[in-house]
Amino acid sequence: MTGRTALRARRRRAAVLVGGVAGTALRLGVATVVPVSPTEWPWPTFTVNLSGAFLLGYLLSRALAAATPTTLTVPLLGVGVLGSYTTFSTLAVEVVTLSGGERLSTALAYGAASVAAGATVAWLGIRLAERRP
Amino acid sequence: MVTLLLVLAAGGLGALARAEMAAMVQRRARTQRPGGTALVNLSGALLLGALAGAGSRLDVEVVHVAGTGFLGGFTTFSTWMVESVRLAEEGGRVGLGEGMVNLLGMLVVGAAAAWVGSSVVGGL
Repeated sequence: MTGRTALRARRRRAAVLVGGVAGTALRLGVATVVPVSPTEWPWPTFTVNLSGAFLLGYLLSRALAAATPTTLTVPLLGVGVLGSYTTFSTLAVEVVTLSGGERLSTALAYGAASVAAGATVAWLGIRLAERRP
Repeated sequence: MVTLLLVLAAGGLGALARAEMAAMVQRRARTQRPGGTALVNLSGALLLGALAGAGSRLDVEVVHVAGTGFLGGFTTFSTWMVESVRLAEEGGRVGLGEGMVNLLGMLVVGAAAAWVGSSVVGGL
């Protein structure tokens, strides 16, 4: 690896790390604002996952059209902030927890709604970014 | 306060681990298939399930740092969604099927992984 690529890789890692801290802070912030009830729909996770999927669709679509190879926008905001802001592990555990507590229908609805709405808003983000000049 | 800072730092490290793991998978697989995200998400779901299964046997702050921080930052929903949409859009009719499989398959296998983690550790 040449010196310049090594430097670029280090910068990219630093951007992912800093972005990951910020994304985690945002996720915690949403969790304190959005009320949670262990017996019902996991709104905090649902909120971060859907808003994050929309924003990542938008961001990556914009970046694809505009970016130069050295830009740190995608490592910082995409991989770091939005990657850490959204979570898969919590979703998986919530589905299991809900289905174990005689709320199988809520578990199935929550899992299905997460992927259906998540894919839809990600698609909307991509389309919206493409329509902007 | 100290716990909060540890949670945030762990979230950053989780993001870095995700990026490194995804890059490693991508180099080996030499395809554009989202295998890196799948590996990250499924292993993270297994581990968070294990943490949940341990319950009160673990210190609540440890669970917060490792679960909310590291595994929350490590696993990702947004990348999974965007990659699924791309799979669906770029591969014609086959791609649409692949996108659906990537969505529903990962959800089912992820929940199964969390259940296995929780059951194994919960039964110890």
